[in-house]
This record gives sequence, C-alpha cells and structure tokens, in this order.
Amino acid sequence: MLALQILIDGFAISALYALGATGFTLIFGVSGVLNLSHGAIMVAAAVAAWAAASVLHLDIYTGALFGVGVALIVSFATYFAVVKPIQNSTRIPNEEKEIFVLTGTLLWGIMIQELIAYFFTNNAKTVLPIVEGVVDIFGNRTPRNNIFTALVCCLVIGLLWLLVNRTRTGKAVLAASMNPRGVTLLGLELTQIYIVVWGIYGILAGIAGVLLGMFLGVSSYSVGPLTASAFSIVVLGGLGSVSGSLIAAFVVGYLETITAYMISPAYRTIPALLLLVFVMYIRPQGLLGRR
Amino acid sequence: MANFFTSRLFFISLACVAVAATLPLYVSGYILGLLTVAFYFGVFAMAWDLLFGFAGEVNFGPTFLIGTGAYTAGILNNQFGWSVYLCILLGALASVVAGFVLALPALRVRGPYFGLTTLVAVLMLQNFVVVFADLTGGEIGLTIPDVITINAGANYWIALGFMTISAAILYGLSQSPVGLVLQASGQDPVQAGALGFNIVKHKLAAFIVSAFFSGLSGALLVFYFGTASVGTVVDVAVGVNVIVSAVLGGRRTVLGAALGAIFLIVAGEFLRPTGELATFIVSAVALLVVLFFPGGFLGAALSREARS
Amino acid sequence: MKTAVIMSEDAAWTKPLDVGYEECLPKIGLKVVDHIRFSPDTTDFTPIFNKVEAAKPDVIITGISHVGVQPTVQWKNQQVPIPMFGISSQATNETFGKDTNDAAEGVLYQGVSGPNVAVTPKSVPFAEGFKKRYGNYPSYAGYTAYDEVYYIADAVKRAGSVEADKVVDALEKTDWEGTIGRVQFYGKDDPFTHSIKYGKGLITGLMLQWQGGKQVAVWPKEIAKSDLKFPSFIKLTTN
Repeated sequence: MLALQILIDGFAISALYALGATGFTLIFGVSGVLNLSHGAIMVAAAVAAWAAASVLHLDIYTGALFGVGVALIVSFATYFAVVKPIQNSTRIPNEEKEIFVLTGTLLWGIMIQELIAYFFTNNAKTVLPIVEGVVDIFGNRTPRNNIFTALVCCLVIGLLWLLVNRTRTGKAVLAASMNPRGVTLLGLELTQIYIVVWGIYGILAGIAGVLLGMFLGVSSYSVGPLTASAFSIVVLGGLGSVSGSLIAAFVVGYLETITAYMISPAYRTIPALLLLVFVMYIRPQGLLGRR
Repeated sequence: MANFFTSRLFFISLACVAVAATLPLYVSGYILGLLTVAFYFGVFAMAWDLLFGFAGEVNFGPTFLIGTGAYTAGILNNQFGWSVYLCILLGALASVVAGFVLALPALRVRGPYFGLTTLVAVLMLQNFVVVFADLTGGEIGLTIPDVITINAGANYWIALGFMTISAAILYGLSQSPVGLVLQASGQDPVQAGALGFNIVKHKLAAFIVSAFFSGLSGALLVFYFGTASVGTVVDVAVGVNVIVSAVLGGRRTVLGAALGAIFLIVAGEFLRPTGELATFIVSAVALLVVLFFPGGFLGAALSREARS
Repeated sequence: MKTAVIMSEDAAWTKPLDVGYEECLPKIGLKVVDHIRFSPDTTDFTPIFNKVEAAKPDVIITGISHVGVQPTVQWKNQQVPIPMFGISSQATNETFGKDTNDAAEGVLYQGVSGPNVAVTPKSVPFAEGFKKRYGNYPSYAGYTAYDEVYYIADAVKRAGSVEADKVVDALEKTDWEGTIGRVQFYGKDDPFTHSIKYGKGLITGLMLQWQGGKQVAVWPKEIAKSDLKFPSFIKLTTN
C-alpha cells in the first residue's frame, strides 16, 4: 500500500525534475554553458502564467502558453545579453570563460528573481491546474493534476527525443554536442545551432516552470533551490548526458519521496545530497558522464 | 616581492589604510559599523580569491568555511562560556578542518563538478543548522553571550587591523614562489606537475590558508554581531556576495577582492532607499562590470599602469 | 472532534509552539494522534498529507510560516478531507487568496486582527490607512509592528530617557491600547518573563477563516462576522 503510494507520488515529482534538468544538460552538452539563471527562468514562467490568469484574467490555457512564451523570451535574452557577449569577448581568456559564464548567469538570475519579487512580491504563487479533481488508484486518492504533470513531462521528453534523433536540425544539435568543431567543418553555423538550442531550452524550462506552478507552487525564493536541484541532478547523471539526467532525476525524486514517507519529512533533501557527495567521490564524472 | 614595497600599489594601499585608521575620530558610529562589516567581508573575498584566482578552484561554497568558523565559535561560547579569544581560535581551526574535508574532493574533481561539491557542502551545513536547532538556534539565530567590545571605534580598528594583516599575508603569499606555483597548477595542472611541483600539496595548502582566514573572519564577525544566523554567515546568497566582490574587484589581485567587498556593502547601504530594488541594482552593476571590465576595478587599473 | 494531528515546519520558532500544542490540545479534549514536523524547504506535501490522513484525525493543527501557499494549494488539489486550523502566517496576508487561486477557502488561522474587524477602535482605521498606502491590508506583522512603535515611543516618553534600564522599567508598566488589543507585559519575576499578557480585556487573538476570497473573523463571538464554512471536500465530524 505504502509502496504503491510512494510509486505514484514519486513519479510525478521525478518526471518534473527530469523535464527541468533536460534543457539544462542539453545546453551544457552543446555549448558547455552551465546556466545558473535556470531557476529564475522557471519561476518567471510560473509567475507569468499566474499573472496571466489572476491579473490579466486570461483563461488557463492561454495563461500556460503565456508562461512558456515568457520563458522562451527570457531564455533568448539570457543567451544574447549574457552568454554570447562572454563567449565572444576578447578580453576574457578562454580558460576563464566558464567561470565568467557561471558568474554572469548567476547575477542575471538574481536580477530576474529581484524583479519578480519587486513586481509580484515574494509570496508563493500557484497556477490554476488545467485538470482538477482526484481519481482513485487502488485506494490511493491521486490528484488528476499529478497524472497530467507526469504525462506532459513524458510527452515533452519523448518529443525532444524525436526532434533530436529524427529531424535534420536535431541531428545537427546532437552532432554539435559531440564535436562542435566538426560541425563547423560540415558548413553548419554554430551560432545558429546555439540559437536553436536556447529556443528548445526556453520551451522546456517554461513548460517545467508552469507545471511546477500547478503542481507545487513557486515563489521568488524558489530560484536558488531550483537551480541547485537541476545542477545536482545533471551532475549526478553526468554533465551533458540527457539519458543520465533522466535516470538521476528519478533517483533523486524517489529518494526524496521515500525519505519523506519512511524516515521523516524533516530530512527530505539530505539523503540525495549525501548520495551526490558519495558519487562525486567514487565516480566524479557522474552516472553516465563521458568526461 | 621586493619591488612591491617601492611600487605605486604599495603606497596607495598604505595611504588608504592610514586614512581609514583616522575615520573613528570624525565619522558617525553608523558609518563605522557599516565599514566594520565590510572589512570582515573583505577578508572573506580575499580568501576566496586565493582559491579561485590562484589555485583555479571555483569554490561556490565560501560560506561553508565561513559558517563553520562562525558557528563553531558561537556555539562554544554559547554552550560552555569559554573566552571569546579561545572560541575565535577554535572556530578558525574548525574551519581549517572543514577546508581539509572540502579539499579532498577538490583534488579528484575539477571545474563545475568541484563547484557543485562545494555548493552541496553549504546546503548540508544549512540543513545541519536547521535540524539541530537546539544547538544552533535554527532560523531564529544563535545568541552569543559575549562580544569583543561594544565600542564602535574599537570594533572598527580591530576589523581594519585584521583586514590589513590578512591582506598583507594573503597578498604576500600570492606573490611568493608558492603563489606562482599555485597559479601555474590552476591554469595548467599537467604541465605544472611535469615541472616537478607537487600540485596536491600546494592546493591543499591553499585550501587550508583560505579556510583559516575565512573561519577567523567569520568568528570575529559573530562576536561583533553578537549573533550568528544562516542569513548572515551560511546562506548561498552570502557566498554569492563574496564571489561577486572578488570578481568585481578583480580576480587574481587579492587586494581587489577587498575593494570589491567594501564597494558592495557600502553600495548596498546607499541603495537602501530604493528598497527591494537594491539587490537588483547591485547585481546589474556587477553584471555590467563582468561583461565590460572582466578584469574588475583593480584589474583594469593595474593593466593601465602596466601599459603606461 | 476528538483527535488532532499537529503539522509544523521544523524550525526553532515551532519548538515551543509544539510543546504548547501537545500540552493544551488534550485539555480541550483533543487527542494528538500524530505529530509531523517537516523541512521548511518542503515543496511536495503529498507524503505529509498522506501521513496525516492515515492517522485519521478530525483536524490538522498547523504551525507554518515559511510555507503556506504550497501546502494549502496541495491540500485542496489532493482534496484532503480534514480541516486545517492553527497558525499559518502566510494566510494572514490579504494576497493569500489570489496566490493560492482561492485554494485558501475554508482555511482557519489565528490572527491578531484583520480587515473590517474592530478589535479596538484603532484597528479598522489603521487597516484602511495601510490599504490606501500599500494597496492591500496588513498581515499580522503589520498590526504588531505598528503597535510596537507606539508603545515603545510611549515608554521612552514616560522614562524620559533612552537608557536601557529606564526604558525597560517603563516598558514593564506599559498599558497601551493598540490595534490588536490592550498591551500589557508580565514583570521580570513572572514565569513568563516580559511576555505579553493574554486574556479577556487584554489581547485574546482571534480566529479568522478564508471565505469567498476574503478573511472573515469567526471567533471570538463579539466580533465574529460569520459562522464556519468549509469547501465540499472537507468531511467534518460533528462537534
């Protein structure tokens, strides 16, 4: 009984973690960028969806779309205003670009967070779920919204897989993540691939943010923890490995849920952090990292 | 090293410290209090720069070292009532132990992997403070029975003196042969190793020095505040401020980091009337500096001097 | 009602609160069947509500401040059939209804005052003035902070000095009618050293409930504006 409950509850949260981490790892795989404004973009999407419904009085679907749209815009802004100038800068030595991108996106994320707090307060916000009510699964009352969240996450990740493996653009992206220099030799413009990837990333982060707003709710305080959790999952799975991130997301999601049920909700995040440290020691490149 | 004492930087620094030392004679306690905190922050930033700028390790968790020192000193004073100075010393030692523990993975993993390990260390410390609230005071904060002194001028001088001595030691270290080896092993560990330098030993030393000063400064800070809380010495946001200070002031300059920290704290205070937008403005300014003056304040000034 | 589950965030401020809950709830005939403390960083409350439900209590007694919107929304989405009652700091905000998309409906919380509640003649004018200036009614901290400024200023005036010991003496003799009631303190030899005095004619606190997107006072009777109302998924046990 308890096992089933853990299985059902853990799935939705894990799927959501997976969706959030996928975009993050994709960007790293293709352009070597760790985007520390990740959490801010997710929160921006959720708050935009909330504002569309509560302030502008749009319907739920338009609100959700609006949220994803905002994430897309912020994602492009991140690339053009912060990441690209650093990558192209001649004044920053190449070996230090990584730390500059980290610092730059971190500051950018804080700016977004503060703007959200300024205009919409730091109270937590929740997006009205698209499907309401509960269903009974073998005696476990489960909100329809959990099932909806899990389904959308799986669907989007499936679509991403198709896009990357079955379309021309997707294959170019995949190739760039394996060997950027080789791609340019084939006559493909790397900048264009980056734009496509940031576009895909914006949509993924936007959907994850809106779903998070419906499922759990977010506030401007969630920015840091969301970035940290995506970062942990991605490192645990192996940087740049999408399948590694998916596995890691489920490991972390279930570990947290099991801890909350079996030990105490007060220690929810601790075992996952310990696991992360442990993996860092014995297998520094993560579960499926290529390194 | 020898030519440093004749360089312009040395005389400018000396003049700044001399002027700063006279401040308690004519400015208000409010300004002194502000600068006292800024000076302790300056030490945090310099200690961080030693690790990043020289050893090439991106430490996202300066507050792990700071917080360990601060809470150890605070808890010992709170629980056992030991003397302030003993507690400060033990706090700094605890921080050295923490630095040692943190250095272990650092010698195995690099770049973002190490960055994450340090971030996780901060999150663990934060969880610890919340879970063991009986000992640490949890989110309300730890009350510390003793303070060094309540005289604003004396506190200011202690902080200024501490920062000056720390700056001298850290800067001296960075310019010494050891600093050069560190810098080499940060930039190209393989080649530095091939030249016969023991990288592991040098990096470990850098960690221990950085941890010692972070912890010492953290411990002094709690005895100035009379309280320790997650928001002042552990939170990731505090660590972000330390990193931003160092990058703003100019990484790999040590002294620039202190300048950056003082600027950040003073600017934050000037922006108080803008209310909730203050953090936004500070972050935006920092981002602009990162994008357009990647060398930071001191980096830009030094390179101009080098050119002329 | 016969049984209760205490649900508090694991923080220093809830430690004495929970001790008080454990001690006082049995005195009014409520058996505490489970006591759940959870991390203040919690975002997914499903496991917690499932645990609560498994204990089959008649009411959930809350001690939450860092969290508020999230458990409330999940309580509604998961249709947890048990009323929530207690301290919920975020619920004292007027924006709580909108932030939760009205999942707040039926939530009962302890407050010091509230919109349109004349705890004292000062309460309503302050709340209205606050709304005019800032766009929404104050949360609990707005009322208490407003009163504090006045009674501390009053104490300084009476002491005729800002010297600590004199101000403390003056503060001990405080008798100030603020927006939350009449403020008096226990002396330094009392077991509740320098704590605020509660009781009829002083400060009683009040219970408010979210009804129709608004905060409505439901207790004490003298100022209550409405009876208790719960959303349809709540299954109330009689009395």
